[in-house]
Amino acid sequence: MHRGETALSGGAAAPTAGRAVPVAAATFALAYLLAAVLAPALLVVLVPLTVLAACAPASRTGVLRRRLAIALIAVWLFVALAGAWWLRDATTVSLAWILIVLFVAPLVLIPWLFARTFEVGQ
Amino acid sequence: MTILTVVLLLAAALAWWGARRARSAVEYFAAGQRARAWLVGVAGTAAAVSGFTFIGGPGLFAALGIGSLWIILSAPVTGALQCWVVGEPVVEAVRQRGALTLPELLGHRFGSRHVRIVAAVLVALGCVAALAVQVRAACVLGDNFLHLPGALAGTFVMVAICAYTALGGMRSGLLADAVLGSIMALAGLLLAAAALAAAGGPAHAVATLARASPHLLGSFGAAPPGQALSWYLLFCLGTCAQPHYIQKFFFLRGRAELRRLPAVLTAALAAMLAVWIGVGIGGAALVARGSITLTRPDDLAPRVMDYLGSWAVLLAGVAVLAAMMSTATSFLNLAAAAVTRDVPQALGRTAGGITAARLATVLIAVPATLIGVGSSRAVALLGVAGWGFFTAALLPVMTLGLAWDGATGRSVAVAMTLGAVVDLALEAVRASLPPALEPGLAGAAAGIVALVALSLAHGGARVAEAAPSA
Repeated sequence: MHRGETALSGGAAAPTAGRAVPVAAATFALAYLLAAVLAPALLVVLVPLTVLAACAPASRTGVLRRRLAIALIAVWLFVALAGAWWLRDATTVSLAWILIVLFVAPLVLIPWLFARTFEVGQ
Repeated sequence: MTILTVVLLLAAALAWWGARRARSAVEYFAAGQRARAWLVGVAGTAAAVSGFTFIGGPGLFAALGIGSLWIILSAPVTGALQCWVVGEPVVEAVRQRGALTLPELLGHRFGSRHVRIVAAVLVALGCVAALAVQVRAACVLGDNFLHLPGALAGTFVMVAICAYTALGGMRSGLLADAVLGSIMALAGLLLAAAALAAAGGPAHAVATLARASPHLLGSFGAAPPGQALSWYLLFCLGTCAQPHYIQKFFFLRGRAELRRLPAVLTAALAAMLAVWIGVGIGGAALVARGSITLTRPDDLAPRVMDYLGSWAVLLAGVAVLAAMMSTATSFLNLAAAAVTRDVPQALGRTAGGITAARLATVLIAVPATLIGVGSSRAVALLGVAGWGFFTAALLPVMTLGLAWDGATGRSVAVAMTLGAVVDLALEAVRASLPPALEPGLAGAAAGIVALVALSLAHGGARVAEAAPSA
């Protein structure tokens, strides 16, 4: 087996990422280190982007609606985190926002999105 | 003592049942690879949730308030994330190559024995450390909930787990974990509801906190916002790198089972985590109004259970016991597989059979029990080799390495090692780190940068372009 030929080649979940994904992953990795040390507020943006990047290989093997679902999750996460940041000093409203928007609502929605965009033969 | 005796008898029955069925490597290490989503989902969640959720979680809420919840807020995302990022490649590898373990999968993927050895060693070390922590938790459980000498409780629990894990492997372990997970989910919901009810209901509890302890509320409570966001990221992405999570994908009967798996994982996890939120908010409100007093934050869960009554103490004790047993089962089996199957095969030797795996399970359990029972300081040191350690070591390869044609075996081996070393080094100086810098994430970041840089330097990108015609 030479380099680049893989045991998973040709399968549904075969490696697919081109150069963009690893470069993006390395960029996000460095961005996390910098943000954590210098500007933690940037994590509000970086967290959803990093989750999106982690799902990028999966979205490349999937159909369009799966890509849309993953993008939708990233947008929701950004809105939820930005709202939490904005409401950080509001004692009770922030708790409601976190529990409802960040925790309870997606408990049902995200598994549903996964099932709706799942195809056995992908 | 009655509880422990019952546990031991049930474990003996399960060991007898499993020993008659686990007669091949597939049965022993991968539960026969014919499990349905609901079984894998409940068992996987049980293995993932440790006793910390029932005791340490509410205690952390007492110290940090809402800030502590950022450890668990990613629960709705993690089921789908795992299945997208890890589940599909693992199920495909099982279908194409018959891989039984994570190091085996990685060894096949990169055509490298070095990758398999490094992965096996890291998994074995991390599992033994995590086992010692579970044994220590059993000792604390004995002291605080079961009113037994801690050493006796720890030894009893480990003997019970070892009996059915050694004899039945994951054939017994999967069934046991599913039953234990159901107990944990039910207990989590009941205890959360009871704690909130005792505090006058959710709205009254929050109003009490807003009046008496407002520093616990707000989006991040008493935690620095950057730390809370880093926890979210660590426990969100980290689910893709925990070997005891990934192991469950090897048990599925086929790809179609993945469709329902996130729903099962998410529902089971939410039920178990309810105890953290419910006992945290309800208990903190009880403290705020003076119904209970704490000498330290970690006392919150035990004091709330005392306040609720003996039924709650018993239920919490059983739930913590179930959480420890389900987690320890997976770690024992993973370590045994690494030692008797992955390392020998990577060295070109024949894998040890089921007998060797049974012996290894016992031999791994002995030092873990001795460390856990004998030294709380050693356990505190080993405790760092937990979630963050596996995240640092395995996240780069599980998210990027599996998906990128250009990733080379050598770069993956370096990334895993570097990630683990960076995590352990930063854990040693954690107190002086910026709050938002999590050692596990920093290790993973270092590993990803190394993986990309070395792979590109080795011509990985060029090979990736040629791969479709290979």
